[in-house]
Amino acid sequence: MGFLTVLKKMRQKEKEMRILLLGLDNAGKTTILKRFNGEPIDTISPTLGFNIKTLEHRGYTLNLWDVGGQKSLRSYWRNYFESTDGLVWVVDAADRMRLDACKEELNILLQEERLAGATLLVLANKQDLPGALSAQEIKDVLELDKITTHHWSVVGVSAVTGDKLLNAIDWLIGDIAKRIFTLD
Amino acid sequence: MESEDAGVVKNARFEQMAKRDRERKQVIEKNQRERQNKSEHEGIDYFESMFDKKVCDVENRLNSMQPSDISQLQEQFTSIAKDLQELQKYFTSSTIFLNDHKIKTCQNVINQLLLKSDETKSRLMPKKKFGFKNKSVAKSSKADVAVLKVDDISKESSKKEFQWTDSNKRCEVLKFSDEKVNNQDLTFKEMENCVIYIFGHSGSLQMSKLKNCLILCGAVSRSVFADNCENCVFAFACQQLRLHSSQMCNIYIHVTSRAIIEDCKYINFAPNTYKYENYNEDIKKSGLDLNVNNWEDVGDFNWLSTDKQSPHWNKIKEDERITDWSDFIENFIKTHEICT
Ligand SMILES: Nc1nc2c(ncn2[C@@H]2O[C@H](COP(=O)(O)OP(=O)(O)OP(=O)(O)O)[C@@H](O)[C@H]2O)c(=O)[nH]1
Ligand SMILES: [Mg+2]
Repeated sequence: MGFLTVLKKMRQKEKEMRILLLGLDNAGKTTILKRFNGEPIDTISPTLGFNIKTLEHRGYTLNLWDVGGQKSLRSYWRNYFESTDGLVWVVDAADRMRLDACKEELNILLQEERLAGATLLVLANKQDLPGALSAQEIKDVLELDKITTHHWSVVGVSAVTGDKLLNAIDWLIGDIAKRIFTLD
Repeated sequence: MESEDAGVVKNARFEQMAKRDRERKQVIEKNQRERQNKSEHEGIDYFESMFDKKVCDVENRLNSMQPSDISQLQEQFTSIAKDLQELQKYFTSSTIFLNDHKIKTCQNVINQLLLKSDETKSRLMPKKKFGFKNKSVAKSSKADVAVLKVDDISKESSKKEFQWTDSNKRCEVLKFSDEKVNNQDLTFKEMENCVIYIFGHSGSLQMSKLKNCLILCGAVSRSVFADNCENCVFAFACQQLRLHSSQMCNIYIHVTSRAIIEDCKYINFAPNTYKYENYNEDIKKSGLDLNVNNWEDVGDFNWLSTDKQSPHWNKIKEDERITDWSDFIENFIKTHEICT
C-alpha cells in the first residue's frame, strides 16, 4: 500500500457524519436504527426521548440520532438540528390517516435554517405491508418534487425485512461525502 | 478474477460486521462499567452539579454579549453553540441514570438556552448582514440543486384508490378472517355501535374515530395504532400499542413490548382474556411471544413523573375483568341496538 493510500485511509477514519432520523411516531425509526446495526427488533418500545448509535460504515463514522416522534416530543426535535449532515425522514407508508400531518411536519423541518445544509433521505417504510404506498406515491403525496433547497431522494424500504435499507443509507452517505469531504 | 474480487468484498464485509459486533459489545461493557463507576460517585448529584455549572456558564456568556465586530460575534456564537452541543451530549450520555422527570426538566433547560442563543444572535446580528464563511457557503450554494432519484419507480404498479378495511358503519356485526387478515394492514374508520371480529394474524391494525365499538382481534404481529376512539372495548395481542386522543376505553391486551397513550383519559387496561379457537396458533404465526405480556407497563406521554401514577389510565381490578366473553358480547349487542 502506497503512502498516499495509507494517508487517505487515515483521514477517512476521522470522517464523521451526523445523521438525524425523524418522522411521526410509529413510522419505524428505531426499528430502522436497530436493523441497520444488526440488533433484534422485536423488543422495541415507543421512544421516550432518543437513541444514539455510533457505528462505522463504508469507512465513515456515523453518528445516528433517533428522536421519538410522539406529538409531545416533536417540540424537542430542534435540539438535535445543529451540525446535521443528513436528515432521514421516515414515513409509515401504510399510514394513510396521517399523511397530512407527515407532510406538514416535514415542511416545517425543511424551512429550518440549521438543517439547510443537510441531505434529505425519505424512507417510505413498511413496504412489506400490502397496503403501503410506494416510494413514487409517497413522493407525490409529500410533494417532494417541489423541494429545491436540499439534495433529496426517496426509497421504499422495509425495516422488518431489511429490504433496500442498505442501498438507501449508502446513497445518503455518498451524497454527504460528495458535498463535504471533497471540499478539503 | 471476478470471483476473487467478490471473495475479497465478502471478506471485507464480514470483517466489518465482526468489527461492528465487537464494538457493540465493547460499548455495552463500557456502558456497564461507566454505570457502576457513576453509581459509586453518586452519579446523579455529580451530574446535577456539573450540568448546573455548565448551564450557568453559557447563560452568563449570553447575558454579557455586546454588539461588536461581526466576525468576533460569529466566533462567540460558534463557541456557545459548541458548548451547548457538548452540554446536550453530556446530558444525553447521562440519561441512563436520570428519571423521566429529570430528563424532561434538563431538556427544557437546554431548549431555553438554545432559544436564548437564537434570540441574542438575531438581535446582535440581523440576518441580512450574515457573513458566511468557507464551509457554510459551500454547503448552501451546493444545496440549491435538487437531485431527483426515485429508486424504485420501475416496479411501480398504478395502485388503485385506497380502500379502508371497513369504514362508515353503524350498528353492525362484522367479521374478518383468513386472507383478508393474515399479514395484511387493517384499517378501520368512523364506525359506531359495531362489533368487529378479526380472526388471524395481521401485520398491523389502525383505527380512527370509533365510537361505542367492541373490537375482538387475534394477533397483530407489529403495531396497533388508534386515535379518537370513545367508549370502546378492545381485545388483541400485539407488539406495540399507541393510543392517541381517546377516552373511556377498556383494553384487554397482550403486548410484548409496550403500550403507550397520549392525550387520553379514562383508559383502563387488563391482560387479554379474550380467546377463540385458533388464538394460540395465530399468536405463534404472528411471531409474538405468548410468555411476555407487559400490559401493566403503560407509558403516558403526557405524564412523565415516575413516582406518581398517571391519572389518565388505570388497571381494571381482577374481579371486574371480563371472563365470560360470549355473555359480554351478547349483552353488548343488546344494549347497543345492533342488528345481527
Ligand atoms: N410491518 C412492518 N412494521 C414495521 C416496520 N418498521 C417498523 N415496524 C413496526 O412499527 C412499529 C413502530 O416502530 P418503531 O421503530 O417503534 O417506530 P418509531 O418511529 O421509532 O416510533 P417513535 O419512537 O414513537 O417515534 C413497531 O411495532 C415496529 O415493529 C416495517 O418495515 N414493516
Ligand atoms: Mg422510536
